[in-house]
Amino acid sequence: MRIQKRLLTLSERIPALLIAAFVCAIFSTLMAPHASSQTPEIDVSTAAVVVIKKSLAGRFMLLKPHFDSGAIGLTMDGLVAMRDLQAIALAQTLKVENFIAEENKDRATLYREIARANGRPDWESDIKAIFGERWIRRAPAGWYYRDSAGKWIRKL
Amino acid sequence: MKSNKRIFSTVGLLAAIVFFYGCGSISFFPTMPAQKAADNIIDDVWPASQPTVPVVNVGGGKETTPQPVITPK
Repeated sequence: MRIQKRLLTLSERIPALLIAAFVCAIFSTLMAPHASSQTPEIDVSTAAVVVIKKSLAGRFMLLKPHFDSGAIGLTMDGLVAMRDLQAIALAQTLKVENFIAEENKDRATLYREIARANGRPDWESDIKAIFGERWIRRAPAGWYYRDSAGKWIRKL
Repeated sequence: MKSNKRIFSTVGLLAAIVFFYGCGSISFFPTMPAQKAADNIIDDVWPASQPTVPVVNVGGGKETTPQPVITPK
């Protein structure tokens, strides 16, 4: 009788124990990224980031004349886009398009890598937005950027 | 009946904790450090976009070009 009573009490507790285990699992998944988010600095010193930076820097002088002429411009999502095809010599078009594709591939990898290096892959879109704003802010006067409405604006 | 009530109240409380904890973790993004990190990377990638100090032509003499800012090490 006593054993039966004990078993009954245990069986009554099983749902509560299961719920507690489930909640613990949720907590542990939530707490891991939260703990890392308390670091004040964003780590951009990983080997992958350094490699991408070098690649971007190496391409900058190839893209700069086209930024200067207004043929290409910056976008709000931290990428580069073709603005005016006519500003580029026909023979150069394919080359510039390839530069843009490579640049955007590197930039996308950079944003993803920074988010990953900081243990927060979910930050990728935030990092992308921050970079989008900073590239435009740091661009010299005369360069073009595309606003959120899709309109090209010349920086003053 | 009593144990059901207890379970429901416990679940409710835990759900509330998880919800608020989740909201806290979603809203947090260190904007300022991210801007700083972005600026550092842009400085490395676009060396020509370093801020320049405008040179004011006070004496009316020969114009000089803006000089890059050199921070002492």
